[in-house]
Amino acid sequence: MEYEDHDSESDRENYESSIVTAPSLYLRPGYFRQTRKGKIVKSLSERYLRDDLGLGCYYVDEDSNKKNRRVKEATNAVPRTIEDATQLVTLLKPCYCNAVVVCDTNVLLHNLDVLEQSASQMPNLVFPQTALVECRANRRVAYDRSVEIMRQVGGDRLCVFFPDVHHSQTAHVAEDDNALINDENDARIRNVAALLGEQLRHSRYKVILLTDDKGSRAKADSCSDYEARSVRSWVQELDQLHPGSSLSDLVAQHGGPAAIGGKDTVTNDIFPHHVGQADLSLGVKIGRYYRGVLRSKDPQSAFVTIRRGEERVAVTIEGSQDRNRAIDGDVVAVELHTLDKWLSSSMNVNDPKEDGSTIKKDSVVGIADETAEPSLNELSNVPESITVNDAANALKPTGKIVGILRRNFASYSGSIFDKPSSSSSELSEREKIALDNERDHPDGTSTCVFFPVDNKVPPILIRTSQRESFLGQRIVCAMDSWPAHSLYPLGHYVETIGPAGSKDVETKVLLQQFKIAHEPFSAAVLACLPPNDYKIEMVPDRTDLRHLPVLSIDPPGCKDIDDALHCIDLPNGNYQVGVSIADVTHYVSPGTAIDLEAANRSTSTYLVNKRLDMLPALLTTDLCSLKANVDRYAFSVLWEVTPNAEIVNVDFKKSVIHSIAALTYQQAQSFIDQPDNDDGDPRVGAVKRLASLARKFREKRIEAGALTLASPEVKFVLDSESLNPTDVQAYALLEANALVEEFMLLANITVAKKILRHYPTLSVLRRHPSPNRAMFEGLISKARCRGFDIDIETSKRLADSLDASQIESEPYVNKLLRILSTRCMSPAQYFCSGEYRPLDWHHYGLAAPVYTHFTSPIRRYADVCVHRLLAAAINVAPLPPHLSSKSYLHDLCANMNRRHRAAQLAGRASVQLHTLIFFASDSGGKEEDAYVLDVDTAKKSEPSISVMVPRYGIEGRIKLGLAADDPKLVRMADQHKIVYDNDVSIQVFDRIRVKIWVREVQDYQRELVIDLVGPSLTKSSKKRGLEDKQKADSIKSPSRKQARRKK
Amino acid sequence: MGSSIRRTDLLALSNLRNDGRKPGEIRRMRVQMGANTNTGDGGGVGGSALVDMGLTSALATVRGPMACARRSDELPDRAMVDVSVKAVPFAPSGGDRRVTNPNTDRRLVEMTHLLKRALEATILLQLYPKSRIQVQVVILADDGGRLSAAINAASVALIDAGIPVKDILCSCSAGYAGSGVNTDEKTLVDLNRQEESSFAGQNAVCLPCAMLPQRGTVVMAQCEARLPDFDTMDRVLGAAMDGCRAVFDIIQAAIRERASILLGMRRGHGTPATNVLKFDQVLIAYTNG
Repeated sequence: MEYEDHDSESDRENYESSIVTAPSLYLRPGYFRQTRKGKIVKSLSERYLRDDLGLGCYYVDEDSNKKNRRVKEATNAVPRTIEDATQLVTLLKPCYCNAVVVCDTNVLLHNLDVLEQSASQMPNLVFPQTALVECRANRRVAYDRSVEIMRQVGGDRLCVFFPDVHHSQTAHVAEDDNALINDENDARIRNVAALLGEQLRHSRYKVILLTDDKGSRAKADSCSDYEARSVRSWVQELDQLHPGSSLSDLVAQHGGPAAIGGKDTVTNDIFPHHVGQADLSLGVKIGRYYRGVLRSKDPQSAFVTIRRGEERVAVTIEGSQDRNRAIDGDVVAVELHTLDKWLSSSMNVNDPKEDGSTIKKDSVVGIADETAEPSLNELSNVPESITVNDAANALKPTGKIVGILRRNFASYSGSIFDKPSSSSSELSEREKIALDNERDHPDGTSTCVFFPVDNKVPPILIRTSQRESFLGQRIVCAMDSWPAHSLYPLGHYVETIGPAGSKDVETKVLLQQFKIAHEPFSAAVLACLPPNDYKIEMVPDRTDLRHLPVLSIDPPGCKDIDDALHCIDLPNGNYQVGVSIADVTHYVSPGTAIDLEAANRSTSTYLVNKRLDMLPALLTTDLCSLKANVDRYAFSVLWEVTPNAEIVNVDFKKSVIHSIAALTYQQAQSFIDQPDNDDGDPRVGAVKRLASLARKFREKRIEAGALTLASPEVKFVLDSESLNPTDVQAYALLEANALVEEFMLLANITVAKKILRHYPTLSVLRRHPSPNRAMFEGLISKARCRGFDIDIETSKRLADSLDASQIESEPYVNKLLRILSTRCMSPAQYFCSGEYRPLDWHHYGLAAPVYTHFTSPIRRYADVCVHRLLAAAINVAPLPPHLSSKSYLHDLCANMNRRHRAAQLAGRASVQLHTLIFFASDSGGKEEDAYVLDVDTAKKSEPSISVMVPRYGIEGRIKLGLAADDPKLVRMADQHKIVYDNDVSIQVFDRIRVKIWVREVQDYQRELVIDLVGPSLTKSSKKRGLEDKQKADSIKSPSRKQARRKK
Repeated sequence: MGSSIRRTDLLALSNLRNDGRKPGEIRRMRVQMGANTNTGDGGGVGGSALVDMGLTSALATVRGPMACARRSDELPDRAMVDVSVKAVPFAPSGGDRRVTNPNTDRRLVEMTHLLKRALEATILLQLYPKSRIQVQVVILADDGGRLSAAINAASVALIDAGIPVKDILCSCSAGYAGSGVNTDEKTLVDLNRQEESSFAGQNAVCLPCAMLPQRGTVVMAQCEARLPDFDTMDRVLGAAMDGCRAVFDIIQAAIRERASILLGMRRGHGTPATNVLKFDQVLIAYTNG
C-alpha cells in the first residue's frame, strides 16, 4: 500500500508534542497466573518510571465556554502537574489544622461519605493511584465517587492525584514490603505520604496518612515526616476543632463488638463464618460452589441464580442461617444442599392468594394491586425448578451461602424511632429489635437501630451523636459491614432528607427505595445529544411522509408523544393506515453513554406529581416528541387495509412526518361523535376512518379471545400551585382511547412478527404466561358462590365467562371480577426469543402468538431494542454487535423486567402517598361504597374482611372487632360468608358502606384506616366505640409500610 | 501487577498511559545488529538484527542476494524478496488469540504479505535481477506492535547485510483509546498489547504504519478498526508517522554505533563480539541527550 504523504510537514506542526522515547527508568513487573486449563503462565508488563511527575496533578477547568453549551453544566477537568513544593504550598487551601490528607484504599472504599462532606474541614486531599486502582477492583461505585470528588473543580478544595506507580521516587518499595501485593500497595501509599511530608517539611502544612489498616499505621510510625491516623480518631479530632460539625457520624463501622456496644467481650458468633476469598474463588472454579447474584423480596425468602453452562437455575435460600448475612444484590457463592433437602415443586404450589392474605392481614390499607405479584424468578426469566432423574418429580434446588464475592452495600432511606420504654407490655418486633440493640456509649454517641423503608433490607445499627435530631426525620444510612457476631449489619449516617411525612421528602424516599434513577443526566450522556441548533431535515434515505395528514391522540398535557396515526384512501378503494413512532434510535446510537444510561433506566417512571425520564428532556419532550406542525423523524409501519379491516400489505419505513394535530382523547372523541358531514376538516375524516377500522380490528381480536381486563386505577386532580391532590377521578375510557390502543397493538404485533422472521433467536419479545389453575382457585370458588362460572381453560373461554358474569343491580361486580382475574395472572414479561420455546412466546391476555413493544421508545428501552432489530431487519442499519449476544439480551430483559416492576411499584407508592395526603386534608373522613373482596373464614382467626373502594381505588382489610371464638359468629367457608347473630351477614362481592379516614400514629406517622359503617354488626354504638379502641391498640405499627415490615 | 484501572481512566486522570508513558512516547527500543552470526549457510552475504520495542522482540535474518531456488521464481528485471514471518512457540500470543500453529496462523501470513510489500518498496531491487533476497523474521515475544517490530528488525537486518535501500524503513503504530465518539480523545503512539486489544466491547483503534522517513513516504499502513471520519484518520496516521521518525532516530544511532565499532575493528582495535554487544547504554545516552 503506497501512500504519498504531501502534508507531512503540516502534520508534524499540528501534532503538539514531538514524539520521544519513553523515560529510561523502567520496571518489568511480572506475575504468574493460572490459565483456565491449569497451566501456569508468566505475564510480563512494562512500567516506566518518570521523574517529571512533580508532586502529582490537580485539576483545572480548561475551557469553560465549550462549543456544545448543553455540556456546560459539567466541569471539564483537565489535569495539571504540580511542579514542586512551592507550587503545592500556593495551591493548598488553608484550614484549621493545615493538614494534607493522603487517603488509603480502605478509606476510599468505606469512608467516602466522610470525604464527600468534609470539604471545609479537610480541604486538602491526596489520592494515590494505587488506592484508586485497588478501589476500582473492589467496588466500582466507590471508585466512581472518588473520581467525582477528585475532579470537582472550583470548590474550596484541592484534590491531588498522585500517580505513585509511575513516580520514580515512590514506585520502589523496600524488599520486605513486596512479599504480598497488598503490602506492596500499602508501602507505596506510605511512600507518597513520606514524599509529600518531606517536601512540605518546612511549610506550615503537615501530612496525614489516613488509613484504617493497623499494620500500615505501625509501619508508618517510624517516619517523622507524616502522621498516620485512623479515620475515626482523625475525624473526632476534626470535630473537636470544628464545633458543630458531626463528621464522626459518617465514619463507617467495621470491626469488633466495641463498635456496637462493647458490652459483651466474648463474642458469640450468630452466623457461620464466611469462607475466605481465595478459597471461594477456588471453590467456584472447581465447581464446589456456585456463583450468582442473590435476589430477595423480604428477609425470609431469597434465591440465587446460578449458571450451569447455558442453563440458568434459581437456587432457593431458606432461613437466615443459610442466607448468612447476604443481602439483595450481593454476588455470592452458594453451596448446594444435598438432594434430600431440596424442595419438591409440588409442595410449593402454595396458593399465592393465601400468601397475599397473610401479608394483608395486618389491616393494611393501600392502593389496589393491578396484577399478581410477579415472582422474582419471573422478573429474571429463570426457571424455578429443575428436573431430577425422573421427569415426574421436579425439585427446587436449595443451598446455603458460604461466602460473599461482592457486596451490594448501598445507602438506604428510613427512620430512627423513639426509644421504646421497656416497661410497656406489648412490644412490636421492631421495638424489640430497638430495645435489644440500642445503647449509649461513654463518648456521647449512641448506637441506634435504623429501619430502612425498603423491607428487603434488614435494620442497620448506626452510631451517632445526634440521635435526637434524627427523630421524625427521614435519613439516609449506608451499610458498612456485617460481622458474624452481629445480628444486624453495621452502618453509618449519610444525610438527612427531611421531615418524615412531607410530600417531597416521601417522594424522594420512595424513589430511593425503588432504586429509580432520579439524578440529572451526566455530562457524558448530555454530550451525546444533538447540538442546540439541530435541524430536522429531509434526508434521502428516509421516506417523506410530510404530505400525509398524520395526527396524534394522547391524554391532555402529554409531553412525550411517541405515536401518531394516519389513514388515507387509496385509489383502489382500500385504506392506507400508518402508525408513526418517534425515531429515538436516530438520536441514541448503540453503545454510547446515552444508550447505556437508557438501558440502565429501562423505563420512564410516572409519579403522581413527577415524571422521571429515561432519556434527557431535550429528546423526551422536544426532538423525539411527535408534536403538531413540526417535522419529526419517525419509524412508520404502513398497512394497506381493506374497508373490512383485512390487511393486504405491510411496509416498514424510516420516515419524516409532519403532524397536523396533537389531539387529546376528548377532542378525538368529539370528532368521532360528530355527525357525518363534509366540512373538509382532514382531521375529522381521518379520525372517523380510523375509528371505524379500529372497531373492526377490535371485534376480530375479541373473537380470537383477547381479554378485556380492568384496572382499579384512579387519577388525582392536582392543585396547580402546591401540587396537592384536590380530587380523585376515575379514568374516563373513551372510544378514542380504544382507537389508539387498537392500532398500537396492531403495530406491535406486526413488528414482532417481522423481527422474529429475521432474528428468530434474538428478538426482544413480550410474553404473558397462561395463568395456572392454582392462582385462580380462590377467585373461581368465590365467583361460584355468587353463581358465576369462570373458565380459564383458554383466554377465549375466560373472556366469555367474564362477559356472562353480571349482576343487574350491581354493574360494578363485573368490573370487580375483571380486576380480580387480572390479579390472578402473572404480569407480562420481556424475554429474548431464543430463551423460550415458541409455544411459550404466547401473550395470553392479548391472545397473540407473539407480541413485543415497539410503540413507546421514548419511555421504554425495550422499544428502542425493537427499533434497532427492525431497522436491521429492513436493512437500514446494521444490528449492533451486542444485540446479537444472547447472554447480553438475557441480562437486558431481566433488567427491563425489574425496572418495569420497580417503576410500577414506585408509581403505586406515589399514589398511596397522595391518597394519604388527600384524606388527611379532610379530617372527618369520607364515607363511600365498597365491595368485599375476601372474607376471612379461617377458624380461630379474628374475623376480618378485605374490601375495595372503587371511588378511590384503595383496598384494605377491616377487622370486624369480634373475638375469634365469639359464639354468635358463624363462618361459611364454602360460601365465603360470615353470619353474625343470625342477623347480619357479609358475603364476598357484597356492597357495603365504609368510612375512610387518616389516623395519626406516633407524632408524625399517618396511615389510612377503613372502618365498616354498614351493615353494622353490633347494635349498640357504645360498644362500637370500645371496639375501635381495642383495634387501635392492637395495631402497633405506625404506618402501612412498617406494618408490612412485621411480616 | 495486573492493572485494573481502565486505560482511558488513567489517561484522563493524569495524562499518563497505563504503563506510565505519555501519549506521544514510544516504548523503550533496543536495536542489536548482527545478532545472529550463523547466517551464512553456504552462500550469500548475511545480516541480522534483533529489535526490541518494549517487551515485543523480533529477530530478523537476511540472506542474499543469491540465486533463486527455482527458475520459475526469477524475475527478469529485479530481485524477488522471499519473506517469512514466524512466531516462536513460546512467544505469548496476543490476548484474545488462541495459540495457533505458527506455520498456518493467518495473522502471520498477513504480516508476511505486508512486510513483503513494505520491503519491496524499500530495497533497490532492480540492481539484482533474477536473484533472490531472503528475509526471515522470528517473533520472540509479543506485547503488541509485532508487525512494527518485525518491519524494523527486517530493515536493520537489510542494512547489516549491506543490501542497498532507498531509505531506512521504519515502522510504528498509533491509535487511540476509547470509542472515538469523543473527539478530544488522545492519540497514542506505539500501542502495547493492552492498548491495542479491544476493551469492553469497544474496538481499539490501532494503525501500524511503515515509512521511509527521509523521503516522507508511507509504504505500509493498516487499520482494521472503524474510524469515525477522515480527520481522525489523518490525526492517527500523522501520529504514527511521527512515531516512525522517532524510531528512525534510534535505528540511525544504532547503525552509526555499529559502523564505528566495525571501523575500529578494521583498524585492529578489537574483535567483533556481536552477540554480546548491547546497545541500550548507547541508546539511553542518546535518548536522554
